[in-house]
Amino acid sequence: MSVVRETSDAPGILGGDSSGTSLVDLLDRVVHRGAFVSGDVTICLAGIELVRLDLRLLLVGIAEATTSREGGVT
Amino acid sequence: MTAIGLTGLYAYAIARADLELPGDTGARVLRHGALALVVKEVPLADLQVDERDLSEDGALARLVREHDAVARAAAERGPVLPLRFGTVVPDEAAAQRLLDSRQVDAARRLDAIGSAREWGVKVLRTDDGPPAAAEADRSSGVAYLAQRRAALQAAEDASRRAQHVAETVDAAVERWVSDAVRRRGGGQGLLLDVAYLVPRDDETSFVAEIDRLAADLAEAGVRLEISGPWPPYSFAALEGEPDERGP
Repeated sequence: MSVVRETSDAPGILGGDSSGTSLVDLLDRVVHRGAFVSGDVTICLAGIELVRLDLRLLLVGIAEATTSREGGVT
Repeated sequence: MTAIGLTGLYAYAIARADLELPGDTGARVLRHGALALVVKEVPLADLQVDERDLSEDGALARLVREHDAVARAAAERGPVLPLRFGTVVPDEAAAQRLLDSRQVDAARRLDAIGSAREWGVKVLRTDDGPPAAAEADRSSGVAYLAQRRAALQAAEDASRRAQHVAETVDAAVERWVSDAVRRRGGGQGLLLDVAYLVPRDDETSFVAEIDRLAADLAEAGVRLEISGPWPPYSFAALEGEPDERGP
C-alpha cells in the first residue's frame, strides 16, 4: 500500500486531537502556513519573534533530513 | 524588558462573528463587526520555548498541538482562517484593530473556504537519486566531466518528472478540489508538496482518486503520501499581507 495515512482513515473527523500526526508535519502546517498578520497588533516581543523565525530555518533542515531518509539516500 | 508576569491574547484563527466554540478548548471568541477572533489569554513567558527541543513532550510540541487542536475545534463549527503559530495581540483593543482592518478580505476568504477542508499530498521519489557531485571521481578529468553531466541530467530529469507528476495529480483530482497551493519539493526525495482544498461532500471521491493514483505512480518510482483533513492552514493568506509563506 503506497498511501500513508497520517491522521484518520475516514474523512469526516476533523475534531478531536492531532495525536496521530507527526510533529514535523504538524510544525510544517502550523508554523509555515496559516495567515500572517502584520501591523501594530502583533506583539514583537523578542522571544515570540524568535520562535517564529528560528523555527522556519530549523524546519528546512528537518524537512531535508526527513526526505533524504525516506528517499533512501544517506 | 522581561516577559515574566505579562500576559497577551494568543490568537488562533479568524472566523465569522457567529462562531460558537465548543466549551472544552480553553479559548474564547472576541467578536467585532462581521468577524471573530479565537483567542486565549496566556502568560507570555509560556511562549518563550526552546525551539531546539522537538521532543514530543516538549513545550513546543505542546503549544503546536494546542494551536492545531483549537483551530480544528473552531473549524468544525464554521469556516476559519488559522493564524500563523505565535500570533499574539496585547489586549482586546488590539484584537479589534486586527479584525477592523480585515473585515472585507477576511470575510471573502471565509466565504471561499466554506466547509471545505485541507488535504496534503506529498510526492516522494522512491528510486535512487542522482549521484552526488562530491562523489565524482576526480582522478580523471574526462570521467569527472561525464559524471557532472550525468548529475545535471539527472537533476533535470527529476525536475521534469516532478512537473509531470504535478500535472498528473492536479488533472486527476481537479473535479474534487476548490483550490490548491503547490510548493516546490524541498529535500532530495520530495518531488512535490501540494495542499488541496476539498469540499466535504467530495472528500471520499478525492481520497479514492489519490489512492488510485498512488497505485499507478508506484510503478513509476514515486510514492504519494496523503495527510488530512486539516484546518485550511494553506488557504488562509490574507490580501495585502507580505507573502510569508515558508520555503
